[in-house]
Amino acid sequence: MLESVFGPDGLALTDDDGPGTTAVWDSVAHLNLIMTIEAEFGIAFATAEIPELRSLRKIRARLEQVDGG
Amino acid sequence: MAAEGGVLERIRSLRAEGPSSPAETMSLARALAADPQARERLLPVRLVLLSSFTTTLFDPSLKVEAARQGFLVDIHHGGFGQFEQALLGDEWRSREAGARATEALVVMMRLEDLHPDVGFRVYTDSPDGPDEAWEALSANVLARIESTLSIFRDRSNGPALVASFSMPEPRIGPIFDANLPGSLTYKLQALNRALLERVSQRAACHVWDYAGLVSAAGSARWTDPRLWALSRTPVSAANQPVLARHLTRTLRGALRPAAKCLVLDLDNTLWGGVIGDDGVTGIQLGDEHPGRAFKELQRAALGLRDRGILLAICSKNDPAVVHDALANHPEMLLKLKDFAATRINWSPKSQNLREIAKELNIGLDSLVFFDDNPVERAEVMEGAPEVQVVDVPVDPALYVRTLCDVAAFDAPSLTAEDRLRAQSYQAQIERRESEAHAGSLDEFLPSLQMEVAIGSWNAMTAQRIAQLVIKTNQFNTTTRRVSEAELAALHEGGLGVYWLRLTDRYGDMGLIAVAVLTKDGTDAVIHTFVLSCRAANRAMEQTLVAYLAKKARDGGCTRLIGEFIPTPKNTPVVDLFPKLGFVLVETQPHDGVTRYAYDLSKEDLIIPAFIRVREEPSL
Repeated sequence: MLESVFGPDGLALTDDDGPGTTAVWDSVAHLNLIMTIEAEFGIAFATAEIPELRSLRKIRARLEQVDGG
Repeated sequence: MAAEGGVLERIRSLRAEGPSSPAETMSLARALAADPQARERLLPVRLVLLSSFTTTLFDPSLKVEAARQGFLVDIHHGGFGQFEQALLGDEWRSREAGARATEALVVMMRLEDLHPDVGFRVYTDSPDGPDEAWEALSANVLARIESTLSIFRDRSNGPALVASFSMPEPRIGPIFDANLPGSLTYKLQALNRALLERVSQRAACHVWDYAGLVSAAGSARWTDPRLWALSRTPVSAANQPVLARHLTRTLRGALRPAAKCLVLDLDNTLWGGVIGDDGVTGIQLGDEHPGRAFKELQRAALGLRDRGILLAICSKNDPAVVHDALANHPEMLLKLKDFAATRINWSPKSQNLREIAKELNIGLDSLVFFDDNPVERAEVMEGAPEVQVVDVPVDPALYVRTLCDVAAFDAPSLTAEDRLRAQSYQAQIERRESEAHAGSLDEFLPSLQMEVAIGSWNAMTAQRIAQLVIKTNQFNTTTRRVSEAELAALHEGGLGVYWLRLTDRYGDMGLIAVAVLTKDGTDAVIHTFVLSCRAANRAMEQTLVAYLAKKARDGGCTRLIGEFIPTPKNTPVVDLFPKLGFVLVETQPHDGVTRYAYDLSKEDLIIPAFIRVREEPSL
């Protein structure tokens, strides 16, 4: 999924990476990533939390919540 | 590299709805960007998007969809809400050196972006005229569009597409809006008409029916409010491929000539069933299920013909049976005259399509092939790859939608010439056919390997004979509606009632002709002669009449008399007897009966050598 959004650089992203920490993760890529995650996992984030998912770690934690629920 | 070389194939094999997820869209767009060889195979287009909202999120969908339709798009976004000023610099120009990519402009203005009150405030028309605020904002919008188009046209010859105005969403009072004169519903319709007037006057400028797209896709779900809030993108992730497809298809229609000819299969395409097996009366075609789907497809084909698309038949069938069905099936909307070319034979379809293109003097790539049989479609894709082959669904209920959705027929305009094209082709065909007919029929008939059985009236054939005599209108010399009992009497009291059964290399056509021979002194009189029209032009007339001549001689007669009584429907047999060497004797003024005579001492009326005849013993 990261590769489809960010290209080959997506594979090198760390848990600390997020919007602005790397050139490939700009605001457009962030929305593309969110849309991709929503489609793949069949979920919908609230508008307010989308900008708050500021790192891969936060995104993972949020998705684990979904799985747990 | 081998895997990357297949990106176009992967894109082209996407299901009709497009990629299954944003991830797939982005992967394909990325693979395309990384594959110079795939890019070489596409027509480059510099796509300039000027809009009242953000369009950058559309990029992956647009690139993939464009590639699917044969284009390589290099997209320039004019910047949020910029129109005229975005075209004043040079950044939007095609970046390719040398042979420049085609430049195409897309203008997308949403009323609610430019005038946020639209959708919420009430615009009240007064007896003095329409609401002033509405008048001012619509004039402003149209003026901006016109000045944008002017600036573009000064700098580029490329096509420009202007989005029509969609209904703002959300809005107050959507339920009864259409009940209120002067409401937004009607104001938007008027505005879109005004837009069309302004745009269509300009060269290579077209309205892109964005309002129609939004409404067809479902306006309530068109926008994802979260994406709108965060990025000013008014199209949800799921609808972005839908928009891309519609926009690219519109662009394609503006850039490429439309296909010229729809080539149709027959069995299980234009009607349900196999006509060679089921017979003309056994096929599914009508207003109720299961015939309705096929009748609707015929209607859509006629609609394409109205728009100047030529129709052609390519079918593995018996031409006589097909001609019979086209002429006589009561539910058949398409007639032989509607087709500019027909290939009804057993040759490979790719070969037939090549011949059709040649006959109509159009390119093979101007043909669209619609056939329910995937084996035939595969044969055409292999043997005539230029032909555009429609991916016909298995379920006939989906046929008509599939045909209506063929992008190859998209054309931005409809001219008077388009409307007349099909007719002018038809006249040409009729001339050509009358020239070529005699020669080809002589070769065609022997190739059918016809075998006939001839017998006389008996209990087993009585019912079918009576039916044929009652039902036949066209190939009926006297149209005497003789009942089964009367036929029995005529058989006993005269020279006999005879029937003919035809079999050829394609199968048994059954009992297809009947003749009643009576005696009047030394004259044998053909009181009734009927032939099923699906056996017309198969030399059956000559065969049966020659047989009657033999029976007349056996009965001691010196002349064979043919009687003809004209009706509104039996013109096909008006020349039957003269053509067979009979001479005119008289026309009765009181009953209109015309009598022809054949001198039985002559022996030139014979059964054609290419027909094998078997005489059935009478029981």
